[in-house]
Amino acid sequence: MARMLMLLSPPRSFSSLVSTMIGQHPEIYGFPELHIMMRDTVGEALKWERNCERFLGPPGLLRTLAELVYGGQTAENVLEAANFLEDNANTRSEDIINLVMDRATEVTGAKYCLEKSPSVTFLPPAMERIRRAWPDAMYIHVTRHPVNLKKSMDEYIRELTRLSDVEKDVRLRNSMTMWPVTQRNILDFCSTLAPGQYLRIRGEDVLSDASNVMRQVAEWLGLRTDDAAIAAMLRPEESPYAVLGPVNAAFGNDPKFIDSPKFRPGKPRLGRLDDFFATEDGTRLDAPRQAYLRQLANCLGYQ
Amino acid sequence: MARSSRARPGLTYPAAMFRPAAPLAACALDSGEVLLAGPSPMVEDAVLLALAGPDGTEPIWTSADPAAAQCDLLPDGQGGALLLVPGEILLHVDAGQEVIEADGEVPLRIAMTGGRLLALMDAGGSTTRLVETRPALRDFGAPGRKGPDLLPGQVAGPMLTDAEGRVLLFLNDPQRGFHLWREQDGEWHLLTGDGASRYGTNAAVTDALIWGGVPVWACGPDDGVRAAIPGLHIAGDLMALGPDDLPVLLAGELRTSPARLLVPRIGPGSLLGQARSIPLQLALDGPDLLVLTAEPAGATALHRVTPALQAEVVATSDRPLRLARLDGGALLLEGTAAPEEGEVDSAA
Repeated sequence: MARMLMLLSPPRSFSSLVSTMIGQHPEIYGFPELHIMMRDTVGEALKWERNCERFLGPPGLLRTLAELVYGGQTAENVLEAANFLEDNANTRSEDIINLVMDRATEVTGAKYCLEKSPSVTFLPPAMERIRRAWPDAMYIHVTRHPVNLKKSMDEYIRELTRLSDVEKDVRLRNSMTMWPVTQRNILDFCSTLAPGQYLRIRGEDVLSDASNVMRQVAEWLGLRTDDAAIAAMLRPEESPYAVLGPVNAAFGNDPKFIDSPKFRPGKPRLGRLDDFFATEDGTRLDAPRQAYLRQLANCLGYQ
Repeated sequence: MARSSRARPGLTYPAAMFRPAAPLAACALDSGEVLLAGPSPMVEDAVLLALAGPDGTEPIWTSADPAAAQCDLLPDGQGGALLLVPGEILLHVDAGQEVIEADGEVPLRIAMTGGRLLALMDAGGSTTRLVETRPALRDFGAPGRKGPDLLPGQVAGPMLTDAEGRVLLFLNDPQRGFHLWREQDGEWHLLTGDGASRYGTNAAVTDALIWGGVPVWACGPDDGVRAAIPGLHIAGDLMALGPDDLPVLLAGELRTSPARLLVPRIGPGSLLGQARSIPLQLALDGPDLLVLTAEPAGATALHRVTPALQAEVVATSDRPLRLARLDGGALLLEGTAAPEEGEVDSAA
């Protein structure tokens, strides 16, 4: 079976783009967001998904099962996959992922399977669950400038139709705390990994210098670094999960990425912490939190 | 210059006069005793200088005014030592252990070169100047020569001279990480740009020396960063200046970097090569490099690195350790967890 490659990143951090690009390496199979490791068993994970109004289960996992186990991403196969999950409610979550990893290895010969579920970065026990399930997993930590992430997160929150205005306001007020909390969770987790098991990437570097970053990732994993392999990584739109899925499992990746999955190189305009702290949003953080956020951002290469 | 005599002979204290986990600087004297410097436990933020020997540790000087505890001790090349708190305090402890405190202007950094004291002075505004003098004279009023300009917020880091006598100076920049400058033919040349800190914009150089003719430095988040983010272990780097004047990563975590700085030369598999070590202090032991690192959960470890870049751990402690450089070796100093447990151990 292929080895697990786990991408750790909070939401709105280029994670769909970066993970799909890496997953396009000829020796890697890139999954969409499987979301099942949030809980110990399939049944518990399904319950979590239903609380989030995804009633059939995690769309990314349903699409993956349909693609790899049931013969293609159709609405009928998604239903088959949903029934399969329902029937295996007591199964351990990692066993379902091992099943699709087995199939991906069989079908494509992949040496690594790449999974990314941003929600695990909120829950250290979920990351510990992943470590227990795959002790030799490799980890990639993708970062984004905190001010740009907040802006993107705020846009996302405003577009959520299922939230009331009051709920949106609460989330908007708390959106800046997501960055330090998730980064701290990831850094704490990664500081306990074995030597060489962890690579940190700035998402902005992927946009501005994709070929070099992708080559470094392939080199780190001991995979092909020839031009053809790197070129494949620059075509995320060719992933079977880069397009809308069947109507009953349409996403499984960031909707904006699915809407426009092609890689467009460029140097993103970065926000500035100084400017942010001069705004009403920034002053909502007290002085120690401002110092914490600033130093943590500096450590990760952001000003 | 103000002169003061040593404290009353025979009055000894345990090394625990230094606070646990306090930064300690140390320097061996020709007499066989070791000078220790660090924050005083009696006066907040004051600097305490003590002499450690076989019979215990004896305080010999305390700063009259509180000063930041970022102190450094340097052999004066004549059997004594110099204590510097950048811009605030300069002391000379001569071979007879007389303590001589300088009046007036205090350097930002000092280095010894060919038996002469090289001092980087604040020349006003954003300018600096370099003055060379004899350690005992410290004639810092001399015109000297131009040093590199300091950008707003930049702080002078370690200064040293290379095998060819050229001055190397690290500037720690809170916005862009550290920069390495070298003086050559009266001009200052920037050797490392923003990428050398591997994009950690608050990475500071904490120590540097010449190893096998090559400048080597330890860098990473400084005490201020760690204070702002309690409990977080953020990796640092051990780097060297390559023959092409480009930086080389010897040890550090894997993260987006200029291509040549992604993979450490001392690779995963040794404790020093793994992500979680923070190099703090450097020393030499014959042809080998000694690297003192901070490890997670507050532990420290001493590594020996051979010229072939093979690294091994030679000492570990759950308590803070510091290194004192000697000619051809080093002393490993163990801090204290409780007042009665101070000790000074020889490591090499």
